[in-house]
Amino acid sequence: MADRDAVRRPRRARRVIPGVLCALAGVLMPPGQAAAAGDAAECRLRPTEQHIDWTGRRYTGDLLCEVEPGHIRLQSRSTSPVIGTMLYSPAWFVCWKQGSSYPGTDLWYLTQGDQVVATPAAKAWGYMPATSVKAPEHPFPGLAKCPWT
Amino acid sequence: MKTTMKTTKANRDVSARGHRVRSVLRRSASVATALGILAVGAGLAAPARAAGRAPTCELRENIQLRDAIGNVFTKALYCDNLPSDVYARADFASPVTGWLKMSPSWFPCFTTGPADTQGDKTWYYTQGDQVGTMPKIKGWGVVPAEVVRLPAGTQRPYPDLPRCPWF
Repeated sequence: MADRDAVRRPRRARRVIPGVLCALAGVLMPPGQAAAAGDAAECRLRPTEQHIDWTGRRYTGDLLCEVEPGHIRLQSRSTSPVIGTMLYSPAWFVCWKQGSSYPGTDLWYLTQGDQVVATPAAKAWGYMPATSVKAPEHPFPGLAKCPWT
Repeated sequence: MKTTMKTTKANRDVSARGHRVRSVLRRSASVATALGILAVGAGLAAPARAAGRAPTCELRENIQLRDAIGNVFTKALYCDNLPSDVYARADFASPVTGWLKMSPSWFPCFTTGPADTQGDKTWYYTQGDQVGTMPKIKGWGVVPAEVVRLPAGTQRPYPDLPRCPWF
């Protein structure tokens, strides 16, 4: 039932979903951002976006970037358990760090996935390898480095 | 690999799905236990769910929880739940923004809407375990009261749980 175009077709959303979702649609689609098929791959910093992860840690600023749907791991190691899945693109990432080698990279980005697979308490918060994040450069310039090792 | 789930009306199907649902939860719980749960930081870590664990349902304060549209919560009901569709609004005809599959879950506020099969009109705000429509909302929405497994005799809505200010 994934209707990933619901957010991208504001007129349809407003006709079908009155009330608070009009406000939500307004919040989620800033002017000039109405995306259609054929847009260039999106990958940009959002310096004022805020997030709080499952441990209560706060982040200010993220990277919104097209992503290859795939596994989210609990730690920045290719041997770490898969605890979630990223289903949709683009996705946001709150920081990057160096981790274990993964085919093609040793950089990882912290995010929240779209589906919990295991470790329910983590609510799909974990790492994707840089090779899944469709950025022109890794680590993406201007994105915070995760403040832990 | 994408997991799909039928988006049936939760209020009619909750009881019927109960048995199948509980076995799903036990399988998920055993997977989580096998992989281990790393509890980092204060407040939000959930214990591994072993068979025979006592039910959970309590208000937790001094937490940090933020939804996808900028609401920040410092307290929430942390309670066992049934699997359910998560609705964008307190309305069974509303789009399904996600699915609650795991238990327990966090419910930081409540609103009101159509009654569940038990006549309770409370709807609880939460984040699903799988995102459905409107991916940017990351699965946040409301579930009808009977999804939240409040102990018998609990006052409804759950005492001291705030009302969601935007509904």
